Amino acid sequence: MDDLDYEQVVAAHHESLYRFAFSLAGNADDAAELTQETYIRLLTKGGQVRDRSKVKSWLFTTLYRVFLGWRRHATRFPHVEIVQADAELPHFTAQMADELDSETAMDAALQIEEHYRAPLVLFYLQGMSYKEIAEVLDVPIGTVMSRLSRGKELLRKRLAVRLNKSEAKPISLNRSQPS
Amino acid sequence: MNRDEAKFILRCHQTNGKAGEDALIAEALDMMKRDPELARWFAEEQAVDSRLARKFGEFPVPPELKAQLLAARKVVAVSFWRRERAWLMAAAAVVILLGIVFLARPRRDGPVVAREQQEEILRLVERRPHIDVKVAGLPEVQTWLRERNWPAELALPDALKQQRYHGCGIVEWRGRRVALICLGVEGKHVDLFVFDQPSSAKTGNQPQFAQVGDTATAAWTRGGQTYLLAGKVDPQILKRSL
Repeated sequence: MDDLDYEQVVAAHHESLYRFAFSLAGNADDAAELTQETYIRLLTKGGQVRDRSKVKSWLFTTLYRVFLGWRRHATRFPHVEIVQADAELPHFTAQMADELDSETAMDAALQIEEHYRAPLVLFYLQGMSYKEIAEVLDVPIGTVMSRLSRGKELLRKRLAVRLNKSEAKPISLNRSQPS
Repeated sequence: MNRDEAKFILRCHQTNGKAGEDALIAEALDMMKRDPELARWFAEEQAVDSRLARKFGEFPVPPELKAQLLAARKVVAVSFWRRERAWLMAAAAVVILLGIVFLARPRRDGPVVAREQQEEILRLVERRPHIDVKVAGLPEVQTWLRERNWPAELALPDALKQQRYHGCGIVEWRGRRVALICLGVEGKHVDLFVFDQPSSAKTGNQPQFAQVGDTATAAWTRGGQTYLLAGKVDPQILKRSL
């Protein structure tokens, strides 16, 4: 990959990749490291990407695999205890979504189990179709559809809870944030 | 498809997606046209989704990240070169080692071309025609081979050089390119196979004669190449041509 290509690929995808990385890792340092590792692999193994239109998919697939590799070999990503949402939660509307900020949305996503969270973030962040998501995560299409459907439900329930709580106190992220 | 199934499918549909390419989504969208309640639900679903997508897209990215990624290119380029150089040195060491092993290996006392190999090779000419081009003489054979990046300095015995050459070609045997030359010896058709590799037989520079079925053969090694001359002829004809 020549210099111009690399610069274009960094400019086009680094923000989305970082956000996806953050949604997996849950903190800014690891998200940046995951993003850097992904681009380093592009520099060293980028020759594998013959079709330039596949670069985006290759980057997201690679980042996800790097994350899975890290998770297997380290305890840097502790299991997040999932609090079951109350079945009687209020309905989540577009107006409620307008009241959110991006950190709250991300924090709510981080409370969802990773196998629901990863397809959900790719769906929202990249506008990927369920077929593209299946390719990136290397899972069957039917599984992606189920996880997306359930993931959306879980995310909205958590956001609704947060919005209800925020009426009493402001929402804050208890994670390191990018400066 | 019922309404719940349609909802399940539509929940995975991106509004900017190509619904026409997806039969399931197309069917669910079609159903929506006939089901106002489903249409209302989908409109609300899309309204929420588009806002959530915007929120995720606004999540802050460290401003220095881009510069760090661009800087990584230089670091990787240097380390890649170092790694490449290490690989080259390792590869050179392996080549030298293999060279030593090759030179030190004992020359075996056996046939220039094993009998079973001769049988395989002879089957290559059962196909008719088995040549790629007709020629008027040996120089034309050499020119044709040279044009195909074949080492055409054929170290043939003088008697064989004097024969009538009819045609030549390149055939593949066990993944190798083998030159095949057709010639007439004392009015009889014979085939000459040339392998761009010496035989490891100790006495390979002297022709070894054999009979493979009804075919007489002679095999020898000279000038880094191995030759197999074969024809359904009296073996004495081959001997006189070498």
